[in-house]
Amino acid sequence: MDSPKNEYIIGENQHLNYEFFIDNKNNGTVQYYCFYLERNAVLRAEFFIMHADVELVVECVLNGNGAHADVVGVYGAHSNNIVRIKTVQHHRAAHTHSSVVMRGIVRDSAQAYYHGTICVEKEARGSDASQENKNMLMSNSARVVSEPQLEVLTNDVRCFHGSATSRCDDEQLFYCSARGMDEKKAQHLLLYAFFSGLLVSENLKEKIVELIE
Amino acid sequence: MMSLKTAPSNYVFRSDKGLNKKIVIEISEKKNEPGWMTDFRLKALTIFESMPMPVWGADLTGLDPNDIYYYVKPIEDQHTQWADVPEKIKTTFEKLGIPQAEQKFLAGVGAQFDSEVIYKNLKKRWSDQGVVFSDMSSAVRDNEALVKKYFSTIIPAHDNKFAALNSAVWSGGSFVYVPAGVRIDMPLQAYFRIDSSQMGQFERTLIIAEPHSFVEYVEGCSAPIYKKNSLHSAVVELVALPESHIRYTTIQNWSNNVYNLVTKRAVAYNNARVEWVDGNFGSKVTMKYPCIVLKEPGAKGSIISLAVATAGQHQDSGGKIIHCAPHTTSNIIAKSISKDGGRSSYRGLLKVIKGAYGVRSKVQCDALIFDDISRTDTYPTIDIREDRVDVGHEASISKVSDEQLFYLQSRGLSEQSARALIVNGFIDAFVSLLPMEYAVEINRLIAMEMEDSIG
Repeated sequence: MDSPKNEYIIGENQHLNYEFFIDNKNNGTVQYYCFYLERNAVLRAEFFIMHADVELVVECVLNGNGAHADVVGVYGAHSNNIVRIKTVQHHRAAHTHSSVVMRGIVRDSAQAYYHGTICVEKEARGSDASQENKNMLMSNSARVVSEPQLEVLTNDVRCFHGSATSRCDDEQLFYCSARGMDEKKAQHLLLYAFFSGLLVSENLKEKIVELIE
Repeated sequence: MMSLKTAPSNYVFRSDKGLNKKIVIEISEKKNEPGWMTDFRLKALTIFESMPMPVWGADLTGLDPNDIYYYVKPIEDQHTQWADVPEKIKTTFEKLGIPQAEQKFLAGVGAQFDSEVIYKNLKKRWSDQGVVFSDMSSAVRDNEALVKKYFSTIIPAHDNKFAALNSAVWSGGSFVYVPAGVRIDMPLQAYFRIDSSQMGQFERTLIIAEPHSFVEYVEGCSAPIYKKNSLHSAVVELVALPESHIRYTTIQNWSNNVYNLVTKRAVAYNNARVEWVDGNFGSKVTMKYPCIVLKEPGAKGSIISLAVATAGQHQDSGGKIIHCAPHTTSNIIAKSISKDGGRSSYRGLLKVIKGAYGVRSKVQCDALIFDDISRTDTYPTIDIREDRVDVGHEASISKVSDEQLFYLQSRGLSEQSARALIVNGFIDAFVSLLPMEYAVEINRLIAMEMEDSIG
């Protein structure tokens, strides 16, 4: 199998910062990541998909009380790329926190599929889970499918998910143009703003400029 | 027939259990239907038999479609005066808490007792304007051309297994035709009720709104409790021609043994507007996803729903909106409450096809969950193939927050009334769209539900 399953166990009170860059070298693969979080473990995982035909699966299993997982993904798809992203946030213990943010630009005839699941078990009292998927569609041949799902089996929770798809806001573009910016530059600025503040990793941050242009 | 029964059955006609060609022909003959309808039914039966049971969504394993009676005709014939309505049925309405005074507010009441509409009273001024409000079987006889033109064009028999079942054995339901330019300012009403144990109710409703017309249709249904599982599988088709406006309101309060599997779809043409207002309180299992196809530019659609799932219930409801034309707009507001071990799910689809630019759509799902034995799910699908769109989906799940409760209690409210107040605020977006009598009923229902919950 060309797509191994990467599993990480984050022990009690441990922190893990994880970053992964995916480009067309990984075409045709399934990138599978599973993180198991013990008591008070903290995960911060950042993924970057640059114009590749890949499937990314990220699973967070919060097994210990007080575990905390943040997953951020930035993706760009152009020409005939098909990007598939699947995330699972599985809350199995009390006072656990998880958040998933996936944002991408889809151009040309590319397609982006997002399927996210939040599952909050009965034992996961006082949990807080959120999930967000936002897409910028830059062409009318592109396609975006977003399926953010919630399954909640207890009442003492806060769950939120949001999904939005649009292109660069005309009014914002107009505002920039009125300030003397040409359209291309204005678009880059708005796209840069779309991704700003998401990533912490300096390595990945640098790639955003490349993604936008 | 079933063996020993304590009370003698007073039903004139009851088809055999199970479904076959003979029964379908029998139903069609009893209704004196034209040949094309009989053919349609038989074709649908073949489709029903060839389609598998759905494997997604709610658990339907407790349901055996062969264990259902398909058509029951009440002894009482059609009535036009309230005074002529038999006492037995009046008591039923009494028990449902439907005040007779309501009639004054209503343009006409088509009360469906079992499978046929037995009482209907459409105010004369509407019929003078050419409005048709009748039961479906009468419409097949009296308005054959109109029915033939639209019947099953929105929901074909092969749409899904239960639409096929309904197409084969439908009986009862309403037919509404609103001529161009006519605006009906009072809601048309129909009550549905399952009375006979094990009897399936398969009503078929078709509403046609000609250009520039407006109609609001309200159906409420309730059923007494039976031991055996019942099946309710309706098909509702709405045709909103250019510039027209249809609002279809359902208050579903079946008893907790009913499988409620309903297919509802509307097509909106140029600048037309369709609203589904859908309240699900009863039934054992509900699977219902009202759909709006925005077919021509400028069409607007909205789905506002409320589901309350308590012990033993699974409310699997939602909405589907398909944007097929530019500059169409839509919104879905879905509210749900799960308590005492109930499960409520939102399942929705929002689709923008290529070429439908300038689309705006917003979906909002809010769930309240009362205890840790209940469950709530959200399964939306958003499929976009056009760039000049603005589409958003949001869902949140929460309990009645302690801070809100504390605030209200510090203002002197008891915990119970504070809770009821918060819940009423939560469902306000839904209730405010209902006709006044219904809004009062729903508020009463919620207050009752809150009384025995500790949350």
